[in-house]
Amino acid sequence: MDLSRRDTMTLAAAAGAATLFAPNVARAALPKLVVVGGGTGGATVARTVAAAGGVDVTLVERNPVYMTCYFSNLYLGDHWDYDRLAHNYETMKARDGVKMAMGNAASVGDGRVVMSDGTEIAYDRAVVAPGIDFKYDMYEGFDEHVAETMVPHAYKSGNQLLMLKQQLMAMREGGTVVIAAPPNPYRCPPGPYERASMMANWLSRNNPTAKVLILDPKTKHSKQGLFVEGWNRLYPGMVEWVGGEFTGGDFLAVDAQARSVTTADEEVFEADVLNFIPAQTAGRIAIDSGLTGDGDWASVDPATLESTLVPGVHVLGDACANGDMPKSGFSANSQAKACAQAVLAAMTDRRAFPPRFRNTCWSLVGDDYGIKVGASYKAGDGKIEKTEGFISQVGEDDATHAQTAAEGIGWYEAMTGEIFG
Amino acid sequence: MGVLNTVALAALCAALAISQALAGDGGEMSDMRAVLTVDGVPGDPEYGEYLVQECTACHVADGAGGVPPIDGIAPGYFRLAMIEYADGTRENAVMVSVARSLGDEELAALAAWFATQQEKQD
Ligand SMILES: Cc1cc2nc3c(=O)[nH]c(=O)nc-3n(C[C@H](O)[C@H](O)[C@H](O)COP(=O)(O)OP(=O)(O)OC[C@H]3O[C@@H](n4cnc5c(N)ncnc54)[C@H](O)[C@@H]3O)c2cc1C
Ligand code: HEC
Repeated sequence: MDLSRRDTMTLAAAAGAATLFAPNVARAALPKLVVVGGGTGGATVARTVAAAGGVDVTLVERNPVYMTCYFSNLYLGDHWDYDRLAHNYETMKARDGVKMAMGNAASVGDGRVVMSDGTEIAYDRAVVAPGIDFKYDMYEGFDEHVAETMVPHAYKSGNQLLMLKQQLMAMREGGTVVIAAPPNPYRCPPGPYERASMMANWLSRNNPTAKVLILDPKTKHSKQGLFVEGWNRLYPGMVEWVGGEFTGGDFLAVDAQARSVTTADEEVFEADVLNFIPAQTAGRIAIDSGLTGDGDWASVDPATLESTLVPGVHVLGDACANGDMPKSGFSANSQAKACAQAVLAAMTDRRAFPPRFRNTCWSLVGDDYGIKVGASYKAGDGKIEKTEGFISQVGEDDATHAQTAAEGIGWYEAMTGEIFG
Repeated sequence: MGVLNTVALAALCAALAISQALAGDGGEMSDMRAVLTVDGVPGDPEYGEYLVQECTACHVADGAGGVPPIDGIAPGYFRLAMIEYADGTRENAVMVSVARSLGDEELAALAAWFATQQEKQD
């Protein structure tokens, strides 16, 4: 390369400028950012701001290990070990200087995070990224205890995912798995259908006369034509989807003993394995801290992800009302980066850049058989708006499906590596 | 001439300048300027450092799975690849979407950022 010496110096100087904002020992106290929730969104914000320097970052998280929901379906299909979904906070502490505060946060506001044990952590600015909680009270016979012991939703990774896999493996020959899908909006729009695919994938090898029945309150679902194409090709006759026209658009009750679910049309479906995924809200702390107002999700400024209700508190990931973006790990990571630069601009003398948003959701339908959907977004008028999107096409060849599956794995490794090291 | 045509022409000119720079013979400084500048204004590496965060959601140094590494990528190769994704010569839907969401200022900023990374390696 033939850059003149002068150009080289200019570039080097410009690169050096970025590090001018590194922690300044002379400054008495750095401004304090407290992030609640060390999942995909919260951990991304914490490490991005800490790595930039100039801000004292504390991450509040109740679990020592973060199990990703994304690719948990690959565990159900026996493609991945459970441990491959696990990530911890050691690198974030050592590499980026994030301080960890392990424990459950009860509320955020007025410059402090109050922990369930009564201790308080002061902040100058806060980020809340608690993920989702569930509307258990919509259904008779279904609550957290039932989900933990008999009818897993497995829509947060952890014990329920292990239980669902055990139930799948122990199912009688020729039995039926029923997946009751949630109403919109919910975490990971293709999630229940990828789950059906990966369960069918496992069953096709181990229990080939079994069935997977998806009961849906919705009349259509994410990547529908692509999933149906894959099911017909890979698991003919095994996966059936029953849409909202036939379920009445909702579920009324779960009978955990009988493993049955009652639809709004009062039809009862019995299962050998029942995976009931309830309707969702923002994580409890967002509701308890007044961030969701009268709704289920926290409304935010689309450019900065700052709450429109509680100034100085940003909400991102699944918990925010994210406009046109789907609730996904990719989206949470993208929103966290936009939020990080807004936070840095507000708390240090760093420049603010225009926010950028992107999502891609890869789903694995079978061995080396991936499909994808994605889009670019911008901070629009009052919400995050889609600008351009793409989706896999029906009729793609094997090589394309294999490339798409490999891309998804590449993304998983890159993003979890970027966040958790 | 419509706006789109103007944009296409500008992209083509840029592509030509960049492929010349890539060809390496001469390695004229003006060609490298086409890579690192927009309308004669140098790309802003600090902006590039922010923009590259979008890339690192998928791209990692050792290029796991189906995503190639872009660490230490030559700025000229980078600009050409992005032009080819944007105009459909390269067809990967994910990268087409990424490339089409970046304007000239963003591409110059990213190229400038990659150039600073190359400097560090050299
Ligand atoms: C089956 C399934 C498949 C999926 N597949 C994909 C996929 O392929 N691609 C994709 O992009 N996304 C996928 N997702 C979606 C993805 O998992 C979520 O969208 C993503 O995790 C959202 O990130 P978040 O940071 O908002 O929340 P989370 O990742 O859930 O993180 C929230 C964190 O906050 C902590 N927390 C909550 N409240 C408190 C509190 N009060 N005190 C302390 N800590 C607290 C929790 O312990 C947790 O660690 C999938 C989801 C499921 C269920
Ligand atoms: C959603 C995932 C994703 C994101 C985000 C992404 N890329 Fe890519 N990138 C890919 C994939 C997949 C390929 C391989 C595409 C192909 O086969 O042509 C690729 C290929 C490339 C290539 C070609 C590499 C080569 O060796 O020819 C370049 C250059 C590139 N990306 C740059 C970028 C830049 C710069 C960004 C950020 C502005 C970015 N990418 C963001 C997934 C991504």
